[in-house]
Amino acid sequence: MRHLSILIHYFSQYLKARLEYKGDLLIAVFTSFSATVASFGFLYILFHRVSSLQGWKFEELIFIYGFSLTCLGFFNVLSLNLYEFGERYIMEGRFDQVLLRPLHSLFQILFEAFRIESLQEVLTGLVALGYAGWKLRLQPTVIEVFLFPLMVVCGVVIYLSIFIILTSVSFWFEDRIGIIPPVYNMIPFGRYPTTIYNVFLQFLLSWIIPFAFASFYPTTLFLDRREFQPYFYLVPLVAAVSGTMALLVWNRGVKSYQSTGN
Amino acid sequence: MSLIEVRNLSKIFKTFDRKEGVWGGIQNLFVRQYRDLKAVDAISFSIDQGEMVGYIGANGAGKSTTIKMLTGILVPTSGAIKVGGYIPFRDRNSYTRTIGVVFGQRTQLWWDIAVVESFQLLKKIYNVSDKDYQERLETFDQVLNLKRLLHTPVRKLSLGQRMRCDLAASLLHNPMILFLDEPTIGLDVVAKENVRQFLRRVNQELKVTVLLTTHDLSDIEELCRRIMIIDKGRLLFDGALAELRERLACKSQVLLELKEPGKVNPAALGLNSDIEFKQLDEMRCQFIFDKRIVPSAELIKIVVNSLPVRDVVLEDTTIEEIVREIYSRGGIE
Amino acid sequence: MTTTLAPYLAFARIAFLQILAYRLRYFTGIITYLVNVTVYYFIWKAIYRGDTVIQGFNFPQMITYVAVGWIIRTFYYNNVDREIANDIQQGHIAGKLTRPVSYQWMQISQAAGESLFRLMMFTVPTGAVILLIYPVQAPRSVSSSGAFLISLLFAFVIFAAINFLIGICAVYLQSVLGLIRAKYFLIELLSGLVIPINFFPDSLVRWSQWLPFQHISYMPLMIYMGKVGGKELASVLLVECAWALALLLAGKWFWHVARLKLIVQGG
Repeated sequence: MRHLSILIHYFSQYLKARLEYKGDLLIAVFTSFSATVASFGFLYILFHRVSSLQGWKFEELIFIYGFSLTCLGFFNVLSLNLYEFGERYIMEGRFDQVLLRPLHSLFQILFEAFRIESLQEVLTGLVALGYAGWKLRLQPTVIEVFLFPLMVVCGVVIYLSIFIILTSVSFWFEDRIGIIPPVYNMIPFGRYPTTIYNVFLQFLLSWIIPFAFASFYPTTLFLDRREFQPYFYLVPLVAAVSGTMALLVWNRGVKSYQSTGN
Repeated sequence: MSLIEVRNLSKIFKTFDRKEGVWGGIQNLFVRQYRDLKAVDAISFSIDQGEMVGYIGANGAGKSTTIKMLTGILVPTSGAIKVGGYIPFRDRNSYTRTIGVVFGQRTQLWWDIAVVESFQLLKKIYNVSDKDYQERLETFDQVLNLKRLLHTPVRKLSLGQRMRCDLAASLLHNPMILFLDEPTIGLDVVAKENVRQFLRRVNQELKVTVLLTTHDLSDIEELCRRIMIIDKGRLLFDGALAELRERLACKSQVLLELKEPGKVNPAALGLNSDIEFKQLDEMRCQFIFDKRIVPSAELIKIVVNSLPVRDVVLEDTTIEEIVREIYSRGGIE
Repeated sequence: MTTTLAPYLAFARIAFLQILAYRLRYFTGIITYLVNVTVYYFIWKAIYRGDTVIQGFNFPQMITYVAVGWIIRTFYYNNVDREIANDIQQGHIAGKLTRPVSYQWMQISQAAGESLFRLMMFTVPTGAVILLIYPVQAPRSVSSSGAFLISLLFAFVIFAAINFLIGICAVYLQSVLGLIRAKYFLIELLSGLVIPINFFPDSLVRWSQWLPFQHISYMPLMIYMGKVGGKELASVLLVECAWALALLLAGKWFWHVARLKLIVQGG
């Protein structure tokens, strides 16, 4: 309860600060939207020239894309500080202050700053889902309606866990840019049916960096692709395991924190 | 049982030697040689409730590392710390509620928002009741003059103003111990005095135990009865300031610049025989003296009245000099 | 000449050393380039299941296009935009303004240092591995490989000049990370890195002919594959040169304007 009220406080503070520069926020929403459109461009252009991808229709791929984008949007809202962690917190030594407050350090890192403009992605993602669902004439059952938000939460947790682990690397290796960007740019690869890949990539995207569990697998039930059902039901488990791992690695990192930035 | 108990505390950092140049850089990618750096080396001390202790040492002596271990930021490599029954690193969540920390070089307030908003956030984080919050703000305002600053964003405050706000922020949750790392660094004389006055009241009236590190010996002189000196990670001295002064002749020096080249005859000035004199060159000379025997004002008065002086500079003993002095005597005892 | 060039060579060397300092990033960088090529290999493989030729590309040509596209990206890519934004937002810029060298050329030469580093430490090893794993075709001819190398140089200048422009936007914006990210995806798409430009809808193809982005990836690759040659080749190279110059000039002008604002703000 206390955490929730602090979270709300953090968010409203941050919003207030951002709204002081309205033009800036507007540009941020615009650039964020351009990035979303561009990341969608490959699919759009491709299907301009071909009609299906190994038996998957354009609308189905849009559905997967929309789901992934919704999760990614929430993740992006929360991950602002992860992206800049190595520089702002470790090298500039701000992490000292974080450790001096009676709140878990990860809570503070995730909820102290927000990439508000990424709420645009959540919205765009939902629109894409709606459009694809309508085109595909999907008729979700009651259970599916309840499962959907759960899958979104799992997707967000999986994205967060992966990048928390990558961020923790900054505790041991000082680096301003870090290794997040190259992995971040691999997120779109999870948006394709895993069966188009060879065994190595399937394994990588499912079990090493489980992007497929945050985009492709969670959509398979809604798209009536029964052959992936076991994977669909594994999604919550993968989310729980990766979340636990992320927390363990992070705590381990905090113990090795050297506080050299001054 | 003391409030703070430290036994054989050590912290070792691992560093590696970077090879230089392009070829060296390529080698660094594949092979690295690690080396241990002892920042704090088996120190022990204890501090009682209500004390105000100065912790001094040169840059890189291990002061900050000690403070960071005491506040739970760093995990000790070996040794034990117990503060008010807590083990700082392990019990961080509950421990940090009982301490206040101020780093002179870095603010704990949120940079872009008004000071009062930061305070309210802290109030929420530390679960401070409305009544206590109002009361404390009122008390702090009396000495620190906060009211004017409350609605300014932190980034627009001067260093001295920011420090006042930081001090108040660190005490909002009524901690039993206050840790300060260089609280007066970069402040002007007035701001320094303000901070010192506040710290004295916090210690005497609110009964908060204070541990502060500093570069500035005058901080210690005005605030602390007890000091600890650390150098190269080892505790060199732990005791009363007066005791240290007694054992070490604390030399100050006056540097003179003459109006015209000439030779000064020290005997003609009729100075105390304990004052050491040196003519550095035609234009400049130096007096080295012990402040306890000869007050600096007296010396300067004599010199200025009897010599054609253009400029006078008074230099107090620095921490570096005290440490050197201790070394040259082969220890304090 | 040597005295005026010397400081820039020094900046290039520093950039080289700075990247060497981060070994974790180096090794992940190599791996992610391999993964990128691999993923696109399989995506295209899935696409080419039924068809033999799409938009004038058969499957081996498409793999060559993708693989060489990522290999040359290891060379021309740089983080100049981030560096500049960092300089401006952290206030390091004030110190750099006082140096008797052009800030733009300082950044471009740092980018050159970075690219030289990338050429040796990324392009060669990742290129070697990719060539071993995937059936990449050789350049069409000796002349097309020569023209390809020249167009690569232009690609580098165009990419660095665009990054310089983006970085300077930090003078006007609270945070440029969003802009940098948008630019990243836009360039990935509009340069033709992820999909050849002639796959675009016709209206977009026409648009992109008037933009500099296709000269970063698409044109060099078309030259490599011999799909652009003869008279057309000369005019493409001329256009690339013009874009490089125009973007450098635009950067110079933008920096001139932004600098005034920086000085007014007091850095």
